[in-house]
Amino acid sequence: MRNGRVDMNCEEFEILGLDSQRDASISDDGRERAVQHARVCGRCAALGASWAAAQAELAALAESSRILRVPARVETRVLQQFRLKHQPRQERRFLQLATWGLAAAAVIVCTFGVWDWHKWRQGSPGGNIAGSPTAARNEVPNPATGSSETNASPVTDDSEILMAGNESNGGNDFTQLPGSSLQEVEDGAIVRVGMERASLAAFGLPVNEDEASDWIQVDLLVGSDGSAQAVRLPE
Amino acid sequence: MKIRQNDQDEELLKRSAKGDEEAFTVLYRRHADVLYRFAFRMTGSSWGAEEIVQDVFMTLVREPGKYDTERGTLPAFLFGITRNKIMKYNERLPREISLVERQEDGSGGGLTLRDSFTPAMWAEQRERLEKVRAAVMELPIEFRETVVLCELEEMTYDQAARMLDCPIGTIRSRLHRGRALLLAKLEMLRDAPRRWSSVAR
Repeated sequence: MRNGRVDMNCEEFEILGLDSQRDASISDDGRERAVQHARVCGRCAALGASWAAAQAELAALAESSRILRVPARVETRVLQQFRLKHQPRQERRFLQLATWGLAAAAVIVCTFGVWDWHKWRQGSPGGNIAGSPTAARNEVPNPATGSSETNASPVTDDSEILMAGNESNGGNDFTQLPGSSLQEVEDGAIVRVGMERASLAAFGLPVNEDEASDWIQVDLLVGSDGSAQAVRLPE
Repeated sequence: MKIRQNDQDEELLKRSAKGDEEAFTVLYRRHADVLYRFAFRMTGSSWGAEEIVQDVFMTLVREPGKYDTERGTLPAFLFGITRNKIMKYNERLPREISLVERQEDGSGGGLTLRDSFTPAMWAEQRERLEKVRAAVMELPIEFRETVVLCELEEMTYDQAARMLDCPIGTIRSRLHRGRALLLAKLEMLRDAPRRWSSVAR
């Protein structure tokens, strides 16, 4: 104790004395006591010097990073977020409505697309065909007229396959060919072919000899085994 | 309404909560650099610090109402969020500490070469600084943040106590322990005998 003042001990010096100048909670008297202790205690004086050296190094480290600034991109990103949050309510509502509208339109278009595709598949030559016998269309060059008729899928070069249900005369005026059975043609097809009238004789049909060299068109009812079962002359 | 640079943080925050971008920008520029330096010194990574500062202000944008004026100042609030983010960041990372902080362009960080330095002096000082940085980074986090605030950010004990939302006695005690550990590490670097009696305590 000096001049009525209690001296600081080493432990107090370590806690309070080393940085007494910066600690605002330490009184002037406390600072004075720390200085006094360092004067009389060699160990604490050395500690003080060591800490002063460390502080200088820390100050150099602080100086080296004092110029650090947040990169500008951070400000950009944060402000972007800010604008997004504080967009006018109406603008946000409009954007929401537009988004939902677009989504709904996309759904409708897809639905119609799928529906149309199904319809097309059902109506296409390769698809399932209602009715029997089934058939496909084919283009037939007509040697007599020089014209050609529409087709969808090639079957033979000079024949036209027609669906039985689409026939204008209902497919009920066929003449059964000798040796055939109409019960076997449930899955058959009607094929329109161009031939010389004389060829009808091969089916056992009567032929006018004067017109035997004419080209005519006939519908053949072809069975599932590929052989003609019946024939008719279209109107 | 025009923004003045000396407008109070609370006023600026109120205005930015209503969508005033200018007020928010002033607020950001006022605090972002300090938080960035703190995060950088705590994590040792510029990328990490950047991510942390961004997260802190994103929180402020999304939930400005989280800040309660009665519980402290806005900087203390922001420091609180930053500390939490730093803790999470450190938990995510492996335990290794990079001795050399790289800048974005791949060059080393640290000292700027000055004309009066010879290259040898510059290299020596830079090496020394990296060791000091590594020594700080190796401190336990509660001591590290006190050392960073009081020694590197040069805050008073009172300011640091407000930032960390703890009594001034806690700051003094943490600083004492942190300083002891740091001094021991630095003296080991200098190959000097340890004189710190309380390190083992």
